[in-house]
Amino acid sequence: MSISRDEVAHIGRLARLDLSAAEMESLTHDLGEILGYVEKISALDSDTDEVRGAPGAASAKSVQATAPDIPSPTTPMRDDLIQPSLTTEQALRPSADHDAEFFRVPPVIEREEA
Amino acid sequence: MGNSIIPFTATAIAAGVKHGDFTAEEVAKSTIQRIEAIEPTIDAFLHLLPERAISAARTLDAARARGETLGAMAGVPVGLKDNMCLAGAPCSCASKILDGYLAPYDATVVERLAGAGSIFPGKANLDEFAMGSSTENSGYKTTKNPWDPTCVPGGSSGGSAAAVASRMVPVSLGSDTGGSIRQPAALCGVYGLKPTYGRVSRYGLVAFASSLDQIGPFATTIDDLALIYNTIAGHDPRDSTSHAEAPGAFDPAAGVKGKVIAFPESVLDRPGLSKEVAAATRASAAEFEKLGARIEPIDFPDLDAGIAAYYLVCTAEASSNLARYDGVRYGPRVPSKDLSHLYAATREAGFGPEVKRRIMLGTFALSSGYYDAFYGRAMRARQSLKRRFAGVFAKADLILIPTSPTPAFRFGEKTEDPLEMYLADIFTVFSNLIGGPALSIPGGFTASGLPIGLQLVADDWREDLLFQAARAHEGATEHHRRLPGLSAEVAR
Amino acid sequence: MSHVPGWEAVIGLEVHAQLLTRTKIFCGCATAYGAPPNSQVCPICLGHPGVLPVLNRSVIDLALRVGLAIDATIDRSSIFARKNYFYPDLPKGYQISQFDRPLCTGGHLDYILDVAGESTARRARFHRIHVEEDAGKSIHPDKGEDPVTRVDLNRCGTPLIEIVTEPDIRTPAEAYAFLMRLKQLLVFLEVNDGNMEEGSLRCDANVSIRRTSDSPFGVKAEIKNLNSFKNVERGIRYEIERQARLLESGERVVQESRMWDAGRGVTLSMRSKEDAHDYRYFPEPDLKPLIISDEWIAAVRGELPELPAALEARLESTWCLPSYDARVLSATRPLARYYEDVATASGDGKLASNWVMTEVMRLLKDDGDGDPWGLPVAPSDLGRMLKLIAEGTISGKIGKIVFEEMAAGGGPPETIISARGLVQISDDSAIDALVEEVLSAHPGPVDEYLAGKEATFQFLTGQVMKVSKGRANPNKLRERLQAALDRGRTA
Ligand SMILES: [Mg+2]
Ligand SMILES: [Zn+2]
Repeated sequence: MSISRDEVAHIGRLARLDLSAAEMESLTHDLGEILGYVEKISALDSDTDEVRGAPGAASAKSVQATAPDIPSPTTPMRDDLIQPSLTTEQALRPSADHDAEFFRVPPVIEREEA
Repeated sequence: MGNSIIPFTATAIAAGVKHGDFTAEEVAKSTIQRIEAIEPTIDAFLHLLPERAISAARTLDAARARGETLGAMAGVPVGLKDNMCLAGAPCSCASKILDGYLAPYDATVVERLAGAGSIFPGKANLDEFAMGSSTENSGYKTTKNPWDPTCVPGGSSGGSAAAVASRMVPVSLGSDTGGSIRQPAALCGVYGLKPTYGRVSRYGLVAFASSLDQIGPFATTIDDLALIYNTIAGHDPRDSTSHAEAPGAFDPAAGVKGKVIAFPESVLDRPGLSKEVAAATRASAAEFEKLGARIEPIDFPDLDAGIAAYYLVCTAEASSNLARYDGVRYGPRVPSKDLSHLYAATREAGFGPEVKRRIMLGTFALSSGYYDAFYGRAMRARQSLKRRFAGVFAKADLILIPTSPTPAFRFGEKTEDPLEMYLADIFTVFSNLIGGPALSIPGGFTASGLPIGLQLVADDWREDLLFQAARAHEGATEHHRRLPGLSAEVAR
Repeated sequence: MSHVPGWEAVIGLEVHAQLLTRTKIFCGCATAYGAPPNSQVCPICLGHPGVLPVLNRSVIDLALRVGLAIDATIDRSSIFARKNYFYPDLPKGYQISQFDRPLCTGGHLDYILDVAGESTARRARFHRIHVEEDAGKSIHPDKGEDPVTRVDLNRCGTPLIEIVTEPDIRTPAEAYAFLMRLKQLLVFLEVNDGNMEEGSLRCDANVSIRRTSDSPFGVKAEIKNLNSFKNVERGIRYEIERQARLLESGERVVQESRMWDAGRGVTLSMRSKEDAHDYRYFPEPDLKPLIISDEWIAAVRGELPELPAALEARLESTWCLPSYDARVLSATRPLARYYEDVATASGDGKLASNWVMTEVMRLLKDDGDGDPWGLPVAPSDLGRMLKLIAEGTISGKIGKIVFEEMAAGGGPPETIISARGLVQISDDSAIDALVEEVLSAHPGPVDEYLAGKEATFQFLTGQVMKVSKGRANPNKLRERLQAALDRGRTA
């Protein structure tokens, strides 16, 4: 499996990485090579289970790490009891840009068209 | 040195502090002196916390003076990998994106260790976000192998391994996502344990790959390893993947008599595997046989398929786990007038090349149209692997294999080719994929004096068997007693 | 057919409802509305390095209530998933949600559509209900302000259920009626406060149009920011018209998200500059599957309160009410309880219904907050007053006077009636005296009546009533007046 430079550029945008041209170049090469190696996973494909899940387009997504035939205990749950929060000052102090009440970021630029 | 009366092992320190042979403050100061003597050559630590360690030691001494009973790790200095939160101390994960970040809370392991009387003299170097096998991917410094400073200490917990191997601290914690405790333990000649997934709380461990990450200890003796393991192991309600049952005690005298050890000897013929590693592994099998174990030859599941599944799972989870580093709530920020650009510029500047490579691979593996071919398939491969190993453990108590295909390699030797670096984990990743425990033990030395590590692997929750076998091996061999040259000097 | 001739609309709703837990879904921070910005946050909901989620059991209790109330299928092993996207109010860079194994699938809700005085039964089916965490709030700069978005993460991690309907809704009025019914159900279940204005209930609508009901579905647009019940109706109405205009002029509808601008009364395209949504869902590795046992379901089912439909049926049969009355009085549980107290004290369900639906609800509208229990009129007082009317102690007219006084804090009806001497006059001799007084004061009209102008009877009745200050028993008054006039005829 190879990967095109355009795909690398698209993935870079999805991952919010402002990649340089040189990085784009080397990543196209590296990812292609790694994805080629990844084909070796087929040695473990032979006895895989039928994928669980509801019928429909994206039914394969919920395979958990535990085998489905082993009944796993439920995810643990906590009682609905209030724990102390941080103070606003503690919450905001580590931020590179904040005022006394809020985190601050540049505006989200969203174009509007009728 | 003035405080040569202070012993080195954790067990002896805790006993001495509790008994009043010396104070925790004396231990802390002696540790700081060791670090001052050795650290300039090794560079194991990213942050040193001498004042904090001394003040914690004084608190402990005061408690003892009041007649309070001290914990099991009283006065024991523990090195923490810098991807575990210690409240108020830096937690950089060796990444520029967390430069200056101070953890706002204690990890569960830190809380337990502190509760048992441990002190924390420093936070150890690692590959950025634990991604690597040589600690060369640290955004700040390269850690040297105590046995040969021109070689890597392994990784990603290279700082934690080197700090123990060079005798700066008796024990330390690392994290193991695909071998990141066991491989540096092997390359540095110390014990390194990856417990069963769920055995040690991940709360406060900065996530790399959530379904694979597990915290574990480094030590120079099995007693020390068991001491710190017993302190950190056990259920934690703050980690939803934490195992509800407490770990069983191990019998140090039980040995391996009658135990079945599966030995997949054919893996030793794998191209690229060092002949000295192969020889040491065979010698060790013979040693276990002498100790009364039965060695059973087995075929090993496909190693390359394991690496393939591993890199799909770990990169996919990492791409999501590392999305929070955006410069908005903490960490440095590259200013911008546009939000999208702020994200991309901050992340571009903050992450190193290997981290970016893995974020890219993981983002791709999860992106629409590829999920089934990659992440979904890798998760199914894990189930298949789990079943295969269940078959092995139905017939055997333990598996014996090398930890790393080679002893420590030179700086720069594998940095050009990411795939070659990934293959350094070939014998370790499967334990993370199936979840079970594995322990790297000192297994001898190469002709040039580099340590060789061997790996014992057990079924889920059977850390006791690992300790038992390793203890028997420890008693029958001398490998773990050898000291690196510079540490031997300091010890004198 | 929709309100645009020649087109049928196909509408599905996606409703996000905040669950009324004390704490957030994955951490112990409080969820109280209106706290100072960034004061209900901790390392977990701020997405600090190393934190892990632990599920709040009450979230699932509340979500199960809804699932059972709408007859959904509960997945005994549902799975949390990460929905990955970058936004400043989403600290972890992913939202913990559910994807292909939601907690509930299927189910339905019946509702009544009232159009032009006619009521029709409707049913909408549910596609799914899943559990997820809310994001924080971004406060965007207005024009002319500093170009800075301010982020408050208090809301971040508040538990939500996302309720997705099948595309069963056909008109904006149906969407409105369905949503009101859904809100009523959620409030009855005490899982949500039903407040769209504060954002604890939010609605998006998927809208497409087609020529006839057997045509295939058209291309849909997703309408966001429908921030009140009325705006849901308005926004959908506008969108249907917009799509019809496009198609009728030979253009195409684009599949996209559109933002309802209530001020301008239009929907606007929200074209994000870059990548189309690729949320890269995968199972949340920090949480195991959520296993729901039979015992848990039985316990939640056992504690389900009476639901709106059951309450309506009970009011109808217990108090012999028309179904319309039962529906109006069941709008909220406090109103229904108030009504039942009035009905019990008065002994006349229909009379009680008439008064509650008119007088009491008028006060509620004036007062605004909608809770009859906050009014100065205690239901037992109102009920006793209605009983006095039914027994003829006071007339209905007097009743209104007494009610006004009660509403103004005048106390129990008996006190008002005796203090103001409002008891009805039913005694024959007393009424005869009043009649005599009126007849002698109005000889002209009496003559007209005797000459055959029957309508004058009404005038004379009114005069007697006036003289009695409204207290004369109307039946008795008519009877005695007639008798007196008859005597005059024979005289
Ligand atoms: Mg949602
Ligand atoms: Zn919180």
